[in-house]
Amino acid sequence: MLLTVEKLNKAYDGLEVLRNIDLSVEKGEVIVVIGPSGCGKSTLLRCINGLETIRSGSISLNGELLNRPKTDWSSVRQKIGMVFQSYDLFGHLTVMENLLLAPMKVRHEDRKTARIRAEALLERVGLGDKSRAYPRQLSGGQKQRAAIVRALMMEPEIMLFDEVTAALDPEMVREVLDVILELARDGMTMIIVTHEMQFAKAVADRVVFIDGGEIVEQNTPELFFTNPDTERAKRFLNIFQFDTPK
Amino acid sequence: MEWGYIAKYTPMYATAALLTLRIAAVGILLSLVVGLFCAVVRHFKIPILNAIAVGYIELSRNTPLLVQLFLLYFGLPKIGIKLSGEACAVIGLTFLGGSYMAEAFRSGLVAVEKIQHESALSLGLTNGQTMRYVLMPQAAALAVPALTANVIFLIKETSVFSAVALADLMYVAKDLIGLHYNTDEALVLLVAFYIIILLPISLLASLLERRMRYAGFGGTA
Repeated sequence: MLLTVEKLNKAYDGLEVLRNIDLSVEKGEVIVVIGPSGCGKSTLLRCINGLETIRSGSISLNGELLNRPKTDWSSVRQKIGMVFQSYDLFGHLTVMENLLLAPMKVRHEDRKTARIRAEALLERVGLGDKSRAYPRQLSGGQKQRAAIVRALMMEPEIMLFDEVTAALDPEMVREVLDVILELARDGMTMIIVTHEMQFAKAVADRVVFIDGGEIVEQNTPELFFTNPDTERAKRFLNIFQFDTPK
Repeated sequence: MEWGYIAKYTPMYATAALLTLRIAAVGILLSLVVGLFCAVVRHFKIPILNAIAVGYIELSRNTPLLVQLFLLYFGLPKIGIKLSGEACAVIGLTFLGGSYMAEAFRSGLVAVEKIQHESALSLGLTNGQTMRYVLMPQAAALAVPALTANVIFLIKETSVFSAVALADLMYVAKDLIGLHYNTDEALVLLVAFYIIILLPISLLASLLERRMRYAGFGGTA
C-alpha cells in the first residue's frame, strides 16, 4: 500500500472537520474525492502532506508513519506532489525558474539536467513556448498546467490535486483535466478533489464520497454514479442532475 | 540676501551634508537589516523573539528620535557607557528605522498569497528556503513604496542629530545663525541642501516603484 490513512481525526478549535477517515491508496490508483463544499476534502489532502496537523489517527507513506514529531517533511513532500486551486506559481519567477527552484535547491540537481527535464515536461503539456513567460502572462489553464509540471519535476510517487479547475473559466477546464487524464494513463498515483463529475467518472478507479467530515461511501465510479449505496450520496448526486426533480 | 555669504559658507554645508548622508546611509542600511530580521521573526511568530520584536517595535515607534538620542547620549554615560555623537546617531537612527522597516517588510509578507508559502513547502522547500526564494522577493517588491517612504523619512529625521553635538546640516545652520545673525542665508542654504539630498532620492524611489509595478513583481494575478 502506497498511502494509508487510518482513523484520522482533525479539528479546528474544537470544530471537527474530519472524523475517523480510513483510506488506502495503492500504487497506480486514481482516487477521486467528491463531496459538498466544506465537507473536509481539501483538509484531507492538506493533512496528507503535512500542511495541517492532525488530532489523532495515522498517515503512512510506504509504511512509514508521517505524523510523528520527527518527520522530515521536506523529504516526505518531495514524494507527494500537490497542486492547488490557484495562485500557486511563484509570481516573481518565470515558468522555467518556477520549475527549477525546487529541483535545484532541494534536490541539488544541476541546472542543465533539470532544464532538460523541464523542457520535455513543458512540451508534453503544450507549454513548450512558455518557459520564459511570467505567470501573469499566462491564462488560468496554462498556469495550472505549469503548476502540475512544477510538482512533477520532483518526481513524486503520488500527486494530490485540490480542486485545480475550480477557479478556471469553463473553456480552460478541459486542457487541465486532459493533462491529469494523461498522467493517469501513465500510471501516476493520484488523489483528486474535484467537482467535475464527468471527469471523475472518466478518471477514477475509485470514488470516495465525503460528507460532514466523514467518508460516507467508497465505490467504483460505475456504481457510484449510477447506483450509489448510500442515501446521502444519492441526494448529493441529484444536485448535479437538472432533469430529475429534487 | 548676501550672495557672498552664501558662496562663502556653501563648502561648510557640503561637508555637513556628507556627514548627514554618511550617517543616514549606515543607519538606513542597519535599519533594513534589523527590519528584515524582525519581520521574519514576527511572520513565523518565533517564540520569545517574537515578543521581543513586538516590544521593540512599540517602544521604537512610540518615542521620538530626539528622546532616543538623549537617552543614548546623556543616559548611557550614567551607567558607564560613553558613546561618540556619531555612534549615538547611527544607533539612534537604526533603533528608530528598524521598527519602521520591520512593519514595511511585514506588510509585504502579509500581502503575499498564503498559497505561495504552502506550494513552496509542498515542493519540499524548507521554511527558510521558502522565505528566501519565494516570500521575501515578492514581499520586498510589494513593500518598495513603504520602504522608500521610510528612507526619506529617516534622512529627514537626521536633522535632530545636532542635539548630540554632531556637525550635520541643522547644526551648521544653527551655528552660523548664532555667530553672524545671517538667518535668511543660513536657512536658504539649509533648505537647498536638504532638497539637493532628498530630491534625487525621491525621484529614484518613484522610478523604482514604477519599475516594480510594471515588472508585475509580486502580482500573482
